[in-house]
Amino acid sequence: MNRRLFVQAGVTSLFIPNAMFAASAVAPSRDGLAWDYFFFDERFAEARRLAKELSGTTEPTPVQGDITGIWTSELGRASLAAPMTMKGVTAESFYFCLRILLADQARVEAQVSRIDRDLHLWTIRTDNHLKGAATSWQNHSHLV
Amino acid sequence: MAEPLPPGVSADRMAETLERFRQIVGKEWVFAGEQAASYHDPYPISNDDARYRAHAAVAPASVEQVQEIVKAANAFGVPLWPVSRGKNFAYGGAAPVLSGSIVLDMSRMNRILEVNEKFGYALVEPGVSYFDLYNYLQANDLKLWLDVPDPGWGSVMGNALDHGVGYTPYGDHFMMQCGMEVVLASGDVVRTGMGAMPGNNTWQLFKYGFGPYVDGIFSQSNFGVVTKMGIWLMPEPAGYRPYMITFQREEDIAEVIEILRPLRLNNVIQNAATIRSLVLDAAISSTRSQYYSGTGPIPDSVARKIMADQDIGMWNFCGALYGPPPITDALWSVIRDAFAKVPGAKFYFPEDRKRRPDILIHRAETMRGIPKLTEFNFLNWAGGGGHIGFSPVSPTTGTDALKQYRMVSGRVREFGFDYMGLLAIGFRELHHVTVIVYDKTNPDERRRLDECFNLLVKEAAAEGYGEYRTHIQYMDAIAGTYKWNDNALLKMQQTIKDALDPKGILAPGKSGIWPKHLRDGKQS
Repeated sequence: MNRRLFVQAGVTSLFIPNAMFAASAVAPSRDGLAWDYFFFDERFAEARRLAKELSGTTEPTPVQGDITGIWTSELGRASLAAPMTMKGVTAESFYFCLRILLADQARVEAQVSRIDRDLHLWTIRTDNHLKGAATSWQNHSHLV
Repeated sequence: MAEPLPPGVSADRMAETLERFRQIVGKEWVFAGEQAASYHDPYPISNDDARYRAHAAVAPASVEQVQEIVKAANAFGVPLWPVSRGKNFAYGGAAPVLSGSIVLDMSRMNRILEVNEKFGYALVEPGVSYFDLYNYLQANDLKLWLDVPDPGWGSVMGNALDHGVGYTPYGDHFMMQCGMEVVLASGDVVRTGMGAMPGNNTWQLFKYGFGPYVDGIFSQSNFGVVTKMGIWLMPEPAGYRPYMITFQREEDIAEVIEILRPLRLNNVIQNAATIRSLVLDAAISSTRSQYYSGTGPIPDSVARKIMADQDIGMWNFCGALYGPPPITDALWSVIRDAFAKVPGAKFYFPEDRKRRPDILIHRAETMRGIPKLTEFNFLNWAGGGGHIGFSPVSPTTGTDALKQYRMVSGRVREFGFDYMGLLAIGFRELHHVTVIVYDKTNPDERRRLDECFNLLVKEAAAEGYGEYRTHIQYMDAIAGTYKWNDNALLKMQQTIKDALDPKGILAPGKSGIWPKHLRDGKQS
C-alpha cells in the first residue's frame, strides 16, 4: 500500500510573556532572511502594527480568520513539498486550523502567545522529512 | 504529568501491550508520552487534567493489523478507543472517555476504495476526510457531490457513524451510508447487508441484505471497529440556487418553523437547511470585541447594531434549490410566498450580498458540498477558543422551537455566554445545536460551562428533549436521560456489549455503554 504521509505532530503550545516572544520572533528564520509566510488578521490594528514590526523581509499575508482559501489554493501543497517556517498574528481559528492541518502531514513545532482577547502571536515550523508522500486521494485503488 | 493507566492494568502490562503493538504496526506507529499529546481533547471542560486522557495511541495500516491489535488488547485486557480521524473536536476530539485507554487511530487507513459515478456512491476507509473525497471527485471530474458537515477535515465514515449532518439533500449522513465492514472485539471481520454474500455486487446499493439490519448498532457505539463503509453521493444537479431569508425578531422563530414544516415534509425545501442565530452568523466575520467590551451576554442594542452592520437577521434561514431552473424557479416562488407572511422577512441570493466575508456566500459553498473550515471562525467570538455543542432534538413545531430557544438561550445567557444556536431542519425534527464558546484557558469559565451544561441536559430531559450527540464528558449524563422502562434500552445495549465484547476492550463508556467490570463505578 502506498502509505499516506502520516506523522505524529510534536506540538508545543507555550504561553510565554509577550515581550520575550516578540524578542525571539525577530530572530532570523530558517533561511536567515525571511519567513515562508507571515499572516496577519487585517481586521485588527494591533495585528497590522505587529505585521509591520515582525515580518522582516516577508510580505505579510492578510487573512480574516478562515484558513480554507489559502490552504486549499496553495499552502496545503506547499507545506507538503518542503519544511516551512511561518509566523502570524491572527485570531485563534486561523492558528488552530493551520496547526491541525499541518500536523496531518508533517512534524509540527509551534509556539503561541495570546496578545489580547482576539489575537495570538505564533510561530510554526514544520519538519517535512516524509517529503514526497501523497495525500490520501492519490492512493486510490479499486480493490475490495 | 505521567500518562494514566486504565483501571486494573499495571505499568508492566501496559508496556508489554505497547511492545506487542509495535510488533504489529512497527515502532513508528505507536505513540506514547509527549507523542500522544495530539490525542488530548483540544477543548477540555474538566479542570482535572487526568480525566479523558489517553495513555498512548496505535495507528494500524490494514484490517489485518486492526484484527491483531484487537486480539492483543483482549489478551492483555487493555482498553482501546477507536477514532477515524479524531477531528470530532466539539465532542472531545480523539480523547477517550476512560482515561488510560489506548487510542486506536485509524487515520492511516485512508484509501478511497471505489467511487461509482453510475450509481452514486463511494466505498471508503476510516481515514478518508471530506477534503480527500472532494479532491478525488474534482481531480477525476466525477459528476457527484459530497455532503459535508462544517469541518472539512473530518472523516466521512466517522461523521456518519456519529450521526453527523450536512446541508445538501443528502444531509443525514447515516441515512446515506450503505454497507460496512467491521472488526469485532474477537478479531473476526464481518461485512453487513449485501456484503455478507460472496460475489454480490450490491453491497453499496441495498442496505438491508437478509435478516436483522445491524449497521445501526455500530454507530455511536463500542461494539466493533468499522474499517470500510459505503456512502451514497448525490448526482450533480442540473442547477443550483442558494438563498437566505432573514427574520428580525427572536419570537419569529415560532411562525417560521410552522411555515417551514409542510415545505420540508413535501420536499419543497429540498435540503437539510438551517436557521442560524444572529451571533453565530456574526461570528463568521467578526469578533465580540469589535462590537462590545462589556461582560455577560451582548445587550439588545448591540444585537441591533450587528444586524444593521452585517445585513443579517436575528434568525437567518439558509437553504438551496437543486435541479433544472424551471423546477427551482417554481419551488422558489412557493418558498418566497410562504415566508413573505412573516413581517420584516428579507430575501437574498448570493449576488445580493456585497460584504465580505458574508454568511450566505459561505453557506452557499457548504450547501453544494464544498468542504471548508470557515465555521471555526466562531472560535474567535469571545476569545479563548473552546466550544461545545448542546444538541437536543425536537419536533418541527413553532411551539417546540420557541420553547427550546427560550429554555436554552435563557440558561446560556444566565451563565454569561452569548447564545449561538442553529436549527438543523430534518424531515420531521429539528436538531437544535447550541454552540457554547468559552475560554478554554480559564478554569472558572470551564467550571461555569460544566454547571450550565449539566443543567441544560437535566432541564431539556424534563421537557422530553434528548440530545442526539454529545461530548465525551456528558455521555453518561445523556445516556441516563434515555431511561424509559427502567433503563430498558441501556440494559439491552449492555447485553449486546457483553456478548460482542466480553472483556470490554472497545471504547469503554462510549455513549454511556460500559463493560460489565466497569459498570458500577463509571470509571471515567
